[in-house]
Amino acid sequence: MNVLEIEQLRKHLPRFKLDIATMQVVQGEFAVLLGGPKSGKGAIFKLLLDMLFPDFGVIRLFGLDSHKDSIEIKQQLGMVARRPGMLYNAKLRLLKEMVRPFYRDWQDQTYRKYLRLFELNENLIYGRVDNAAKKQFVLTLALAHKPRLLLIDEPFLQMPTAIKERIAQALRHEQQEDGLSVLMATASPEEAARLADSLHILHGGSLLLSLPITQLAEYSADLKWQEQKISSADQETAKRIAQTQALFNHYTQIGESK
Amino acid sequence: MTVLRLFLIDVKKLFSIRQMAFFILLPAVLAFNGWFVSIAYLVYLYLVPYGMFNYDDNAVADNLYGALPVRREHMVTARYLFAIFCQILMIALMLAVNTVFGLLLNRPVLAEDFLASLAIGLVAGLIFIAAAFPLVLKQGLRKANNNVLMIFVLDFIILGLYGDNLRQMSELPQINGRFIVLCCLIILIISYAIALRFFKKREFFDYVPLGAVQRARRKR
Repeated sequence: MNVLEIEQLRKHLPRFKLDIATMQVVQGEFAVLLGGPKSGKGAIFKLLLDMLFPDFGVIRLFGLDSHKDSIEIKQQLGMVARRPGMLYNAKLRLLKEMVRPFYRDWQDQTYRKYLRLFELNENLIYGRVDNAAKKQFVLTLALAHKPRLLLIDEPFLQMPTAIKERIAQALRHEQQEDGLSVLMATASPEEAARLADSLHILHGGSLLLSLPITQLAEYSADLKWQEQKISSADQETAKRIAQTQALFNHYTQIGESK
Repeated sequence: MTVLRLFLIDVKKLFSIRQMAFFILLPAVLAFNGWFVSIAYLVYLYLVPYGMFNYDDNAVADNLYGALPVRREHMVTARYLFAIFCQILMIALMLAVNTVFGLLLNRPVLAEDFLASLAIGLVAGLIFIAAAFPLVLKQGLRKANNNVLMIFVLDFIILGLYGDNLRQMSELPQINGRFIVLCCLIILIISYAIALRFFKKREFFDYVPLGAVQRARRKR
């Protein structure tokens, strides 16, 4: 079952035109939107959240219309924005109290679990914690209402490796336990290769390629990529990262030439 | 219920921002002898209910509200409710301060001058809210800020220049005072309807230089 379906989506934006012929995210899948700056990743998220309206085309989440059924959709949608709009002067506890009443499936147990996992203290003031803690707190809020689809924008930007691992583990856990689907936007082919079940490469507002990660080798077969010589345990990951990088570079060049 | 929850977010914000305490207490204290009450009241409305938009803009709160399962009309209603709440809060504080100081200093409590000045502030404040809110909700704070400042200054000047005339009007028989308040409320309701219409159609672009959005619309 698809949690997200986009068909013939077109949207004129101030600096570029978003044009997506078709795109799907399957239930329980970790999908990655891979693209550089101004490739349209943020615009897609805003269209999904009904903050922008499409000029043409259809967006369906959980089989519902993104505009008409936006309230029901947002009950089942988690969002971790790059700038999540939290009140800087407020304690984490207060922020939780602000958000919690809006969700019918809010689970305090899940909230506490992730608070512990991410070693967050509810008495801290949001504006005074570091960026990694901010991101982890927003992720905790997003996971606490048990979303079916989590939208997550550049989650690992300027973040220590240990925390990146912790977040990735949490997402994988939710994916396996509750069938959470994730749509992550990133500009890093490395992160995409590490986490993705499916890859969607964007450039200048156009979706250039969508493929399941299992077909990565097939798609990058004709491309030049350098196999890095590292320990055998990491060999497979390193290969995948190099292939993704090559694929991304290749399609970005195609996008540039268009 | 959703409106109430959104309204409570604003109230919680109000009490968690430290400088807001200063913006609330200073105008309230000015009510002790009835001077500058109307002007203090208007400045308070600019700094607190309208200032909350500024705070939200800095925090990019659109991203938070955009992700919450709420309708746009709920957001607009909550904002207007919050503005009314702020007005009631200030009126109550000013009445209390004036009463307490009056009793302590053996002066007439809630003198006619004080009440007239407060009434002028209330009228000017309602007009300011009614004009500023639809603009901000349509254009966003950054684009609307200059226009809102102009509205505020005009309101301020009209209040300063014609404050006495307004004061005389408020001293007319009771029916006229009620009529003025009724007019203000009608203006506020019209403003709410316009804001609702604007906000339902609003698109939340990333911050881009002025003109870029219009150019994109023209291309379409």
